[in-house]
Amino acid sequence: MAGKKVIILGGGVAGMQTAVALGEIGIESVLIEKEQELGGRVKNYDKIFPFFTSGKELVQGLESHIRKSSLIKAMCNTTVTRVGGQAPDFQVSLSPGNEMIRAGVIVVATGFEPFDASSQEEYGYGIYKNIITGTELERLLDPEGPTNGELRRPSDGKIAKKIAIVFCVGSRSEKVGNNYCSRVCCSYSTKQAIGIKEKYPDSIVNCFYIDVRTYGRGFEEMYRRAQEMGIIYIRGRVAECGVLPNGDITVRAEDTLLGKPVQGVFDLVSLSHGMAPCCDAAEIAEVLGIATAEDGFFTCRDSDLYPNDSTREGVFLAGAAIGLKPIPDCISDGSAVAARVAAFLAKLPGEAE
Amino acid sequence: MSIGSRPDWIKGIQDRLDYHWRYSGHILGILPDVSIILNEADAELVQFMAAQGLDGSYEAACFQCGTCAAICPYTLIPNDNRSLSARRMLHERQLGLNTFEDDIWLCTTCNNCVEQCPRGVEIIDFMRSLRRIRTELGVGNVPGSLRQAVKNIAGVGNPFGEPSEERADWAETIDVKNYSPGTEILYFPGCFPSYDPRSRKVAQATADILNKAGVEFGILGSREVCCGESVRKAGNESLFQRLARHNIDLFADSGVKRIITTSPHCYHTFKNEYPEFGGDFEIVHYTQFLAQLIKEGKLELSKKLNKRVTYHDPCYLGRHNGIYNEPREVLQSIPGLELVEMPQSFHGSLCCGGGGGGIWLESKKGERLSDIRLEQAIETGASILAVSCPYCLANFEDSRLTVEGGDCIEIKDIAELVCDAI
Amino acid sequence: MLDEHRGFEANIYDAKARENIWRRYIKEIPEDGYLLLPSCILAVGYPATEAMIPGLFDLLGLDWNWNLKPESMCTCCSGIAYHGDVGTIESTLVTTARLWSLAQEAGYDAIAVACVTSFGVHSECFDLYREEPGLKKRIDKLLMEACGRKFELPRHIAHVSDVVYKHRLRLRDEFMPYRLIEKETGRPLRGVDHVGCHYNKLFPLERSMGGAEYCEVLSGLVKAWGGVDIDYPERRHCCGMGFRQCMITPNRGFTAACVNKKMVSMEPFAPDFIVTNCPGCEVYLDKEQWAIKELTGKEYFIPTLTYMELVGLLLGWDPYDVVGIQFHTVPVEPLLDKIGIPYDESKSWLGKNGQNLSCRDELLKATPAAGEYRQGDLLP
Repeated sequence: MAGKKVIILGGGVAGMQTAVALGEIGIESVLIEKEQELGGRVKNYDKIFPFFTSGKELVQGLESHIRKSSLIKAMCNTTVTRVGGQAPDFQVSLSPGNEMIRAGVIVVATGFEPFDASSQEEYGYGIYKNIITGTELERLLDPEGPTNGELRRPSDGKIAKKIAIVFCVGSRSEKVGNNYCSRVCCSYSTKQAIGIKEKYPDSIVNCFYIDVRTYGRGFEEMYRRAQEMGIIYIRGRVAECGVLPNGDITVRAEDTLLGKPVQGVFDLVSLSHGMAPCCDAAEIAEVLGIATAEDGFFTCRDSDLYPNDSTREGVFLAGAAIGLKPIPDCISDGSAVAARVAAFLAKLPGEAE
Repeated sequence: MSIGSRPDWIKGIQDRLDYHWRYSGHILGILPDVSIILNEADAELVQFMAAQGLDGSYEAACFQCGTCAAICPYTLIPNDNRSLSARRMLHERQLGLNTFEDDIWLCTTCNNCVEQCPRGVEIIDFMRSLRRIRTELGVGNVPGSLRQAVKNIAGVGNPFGEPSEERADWAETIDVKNYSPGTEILYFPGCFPSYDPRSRKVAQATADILNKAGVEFGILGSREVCCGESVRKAGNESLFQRLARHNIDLFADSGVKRIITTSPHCYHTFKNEYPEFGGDFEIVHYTQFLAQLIKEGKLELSKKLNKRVTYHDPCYLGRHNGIYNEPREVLQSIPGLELVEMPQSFHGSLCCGGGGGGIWLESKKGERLSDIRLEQAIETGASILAVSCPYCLANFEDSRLTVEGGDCIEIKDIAELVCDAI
Repeated sequence: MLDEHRGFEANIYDAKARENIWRRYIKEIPEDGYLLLPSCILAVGYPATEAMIPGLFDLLGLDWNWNLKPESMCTCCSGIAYHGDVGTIESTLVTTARLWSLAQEAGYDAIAVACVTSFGVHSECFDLYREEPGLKKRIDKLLMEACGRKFELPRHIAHVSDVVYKHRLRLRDEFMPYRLIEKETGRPLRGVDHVGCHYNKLFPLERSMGGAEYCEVLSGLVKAWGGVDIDYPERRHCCGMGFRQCMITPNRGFTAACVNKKMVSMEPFAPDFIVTNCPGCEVYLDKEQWAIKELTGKEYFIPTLTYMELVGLLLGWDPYDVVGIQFHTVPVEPLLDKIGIPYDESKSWLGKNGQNLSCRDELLKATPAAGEYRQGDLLP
C-alpha cells in the first residue's frame, strides 16, 4: 500500500500548487490537464491584481518546480473517463490511451469557464466588432499579445481613446441563470482600467458598475488608485450597446446616483464577464461521484470546516472549481488541499508516511 | 364632436383638425432627451479649467458614500427647490458637467463634510473650485448680493462699501493707539466689527478689555483691508490674493509679529492661508488671548452675571481650528455665570449660515440655519447666547427678531460679557 | 456577400455572427391552414395593406379562411380595451377564445393575425392559460354563455408577417419581378426593419422569429428580396405609439420624441426605406416624420412601408390601386423610382368609377402653416 498517488484534475494554478505542495510533503501526484499545456487561465495574464505582479511568471515558476520534481508527473491533453473503486483505492481511467492509474486520493481543480457574453444579446458581443470581453482586453494589453500591448480596436486598428468597461456581465443575473457574484471581475476590471490609464494617460475610461466589490487586502487601495488616476465610475448597469457607422459603440445606462439616464459613445467597450463552472463540471461530478450545487460549482462537505473536501471520501477540491476566488486564494487552496490529502493518507491503516 | 354631422367639414377644417390643436401650443413639442451625454465636454473649456487648477483632482477620490450630504446642516431645511448635496455635485463634476441640480451658493463651508469624509476629499476646496468656475470663468450665475459685497471689497477694502478712511472710526471713543513697529500686539478687528454698528460694540469691548488688562496693542485702521476669507470662498481667487498680499506687506512693513483677531474667519485666513503668500505671523483669537490673560491673573472679573448662558461654537473657530475650550474657560471665569451646552455643540456645532459667503446672501424665513440654532439656544433656558464670531452675532441678532421666543434671549459676544464683568 | 454590400459597415459587424444570432429563436409555423384575423387600425390607416392579404394568400395557393359566415365573423381582439384599461381581462379572454373557436370551426389549428398588438393580445391570453390551470374551465363556461361556442387553444399563433417570412423565398423565386436593388447602380437598398414591440419583446423565445434583440422576421424579408437590413443604435426602440401615448393628446409629444430619436439614430446609416409589421408603428413612423418636419424643420422623409406593401410593390401590383401608397404621409414615389417600379401619379386618387377623390388642394388651402393659429382656439 506504500506510495499512494494523488491524481489532480486540472493543471491550473490551484492544481499546480497542490502538486507542488504535495511534493514538498513527499507525496507523489499525477497532474491531469485537458489542454495542451499547464497553466490554466493565469498563464495568459500579464499583470495580476492587486499588486500588478506577473501571472505568466507565477505560472512559469510553478511549472519549473513541477518539471524538476521527481514526485510530480504532468500529463497534458488528457482527460479522466472513468473512476472505479473507493478511497483509498481508486482506479482512474484516462483518455486517450485507456491508461489506468491507481490512486489513493483525487483532487479536483478544474477551474472555471468565462461566461459566454454573446448570450447577453443586448450587448451585441460577437456582433459588433468593437465590443470585446475582459479576457480579450487582457490579451490586447499584454505586451506579448496580438497587438504588442497597444490598445488597438478590432474593427480598424485605431488606438482606443474612450473605453467603457461594463461590470457584471453574466453574473448576478437571473436572466442568464447565474445568480451569484463572480467575485473577481470588479477587481480585474479595475486592474485593466489602471493598465489602460497608465499606458494612455489621456484616455477616458468609464466603468459602469452595480457595486464595486474590490474587497481584500490591497484591493480597496487599488480602487482608490484607479479613481485618483481619473477613471470615472458610474453606478448603473449598462442596458444596451449599439453601433455607429464608424464602428464606435453607443452605451446606454442610468446613472442611479443622479437618477438620470446617461449615454456615451466609446471607441471600445469591454464586457467584464463573470465566470461559470467549467463546461464539463457536471460530467466530472458524475464520473467522480461528487455533488454539485445549484450554481454548478462543486459542493464541499462543510463550507465552514471542510471547504476543500468534496461530498465523497477521498476526493478533494481546490481553486475556482469550488467558487471563484483571486489567484492568491487559489494558491492557498492548493496548499490547504495538500494538507488535507496528507492528513487523509496518514490516517490510512498500514501507512508509514 | 362628430365629423359626420358637418357636411362642409373640409372647408371648416381650421376648427376641426388636430393639427390646429397641436400647433397652437396645446401639445408639447418633441420631448427633449434628458440623458446626460458622457465625455462630450468642450475640450477647450476642459483644458482652460485644468490650467486653472480645476482638473478633476478634487473630486477624483470620491466614492459616493453620501456621508457629506447626510451630515450637511442643510438636511435640516428640506426644500423642494433648493438642495445641497455635496455628493451629487462631486459626481456631476466627475462626469464633467458644469450645471448642478443643487445650489452651489448654499454651502457655508462649515467643514462638517470634510471632517467626516472617509476618503479625505477636500470638499470645501471643491466647492471653491465650482465657485471659481462661476466667478472667474463666468460660466453660470453668481447671486447679486454676493457680487455687490465682493465688488465693495475690491473697491474700498470692506464689503459694506463704506469709505476705507472710516475703518478706525469705531475706536474714536476708546483710547487706542496706531500700530507702530515694536508694539507687541496688532489688534485686527475685521470688517464687521469695524463698520457694522452692532459689531462695533464688540471691537470697542475688546479694546477696552485690552486696555484694562494693560496689554500693549495698536491698530492699523484704514490701511488694512478685508482679510479676504469670504472672497476666496466665493471663488474670487485673484481678488483674494490681491487682498492677502496687501495685508501681508502692510503687516510686514509695520513690523507686526503677533495679531489678535475678533473674527474666527480672519483668524483662519491669517493662520492657515496667508503663509502660502509669505505671511508668517503669530495669530491668536481674542478668546484664546483672554483665556491666557485670565489664567495669568492679568484680568480680574469681579462683577457677577447671574445668568444662564449657552455658547455657540463658530465653525471657523471650532471645526476648522479646534478651539473649543478657551472660550468656555473665559465664560466660566465670569462669576455667577451658569454655562449650559446646546445639543450639537463642540465639533457638532450647527453652523449659523454665515460662512462661505453666506453672510452676504439672502435667505428666506424658515430656511435659516440660525433660526434653528437660536431655537436650540432658547430651549436650554439660557437668557444669553454667547458668540465669538461677528457673522454668528449678525445672524443670531437677525433670527432673534423673527423666531418665536427670541425676545427672551439676548445675543452677546464673549468680549462684551467679559468687558461687563470687569 | 453581405459584407461587400454593407459598404462602410463591412468592418464594424461580424457578419457571420450576425447571420447566426437569430437562429436561437426559430419559430416553427405551418405553411398554411390559417384563420386570418384582420386588424382594426390597419383597415383604417392603410386599408390597402389588409386588402392585399387575401390576394397574397390566394396567389400562393394557401389554405386559409376568414369571416366564414355572418354569424362567425372575426371581431376586434379587444386590444384597445385591454391596453386602455377599459375592459376586464375576462372580456379579452372571451373575445380571443371566440376567435380561436372560429379557427377550430374552420378546421384550422393555427391563426394568422394581421396586427401586432392583436398578436400580442393573443399570445398573452394563450400564456395565461398556461399559468393559471383553472382558467380554461372558467372561460369555457363564459364563452358558452356568451355565444354558445367551445374552444381549444390554437396550436400556432402566427402573425401574417411570419407567414410571408415563411414563403419569402418562394415569392422571390416564383412571383416577384422586382428586387430591393437600386435599378441604376445595382446597389442593394438599405432597409430599416422596425418590428412591433408586441411581436418580439413579449415572448421572444416562443413567438418571435429571431428573438427580441435581432428579430429576423422583417430582416429576413429585406435580405431575401435583395436588400440590406441595417442595424443602428435605436433599432430596438419602441416607435412610441402605445395607446397611452398616442391616444391621449397631451402625451403625443412622447410619441413624437420616440420617432425623432429613432430618426436621428438611423440617419447616419442612410436608409432607403423602413418596413414595419405593426399598424401602430406604421401610422406613427409615417406620420410623425411630418410632425417632426413641422416642429423642428428637419426633413427625414424616409418612406415607411408595411411588409404587405413591400410584397405588393415587389410583386408588381399597382402602387395606387392595390398597394395604396397614396395613403402615406411620407411620399413613397422616390422609393419606387429607385426600384424602377412604374407608376402614374395622376391616377393616385381615382375612385371606383374613375372620379378623382383627391381633396389635396382644399386641404392645403384650408390648413395654415404651423404657428398661424390663435392660442386658445380649442376643439369643441
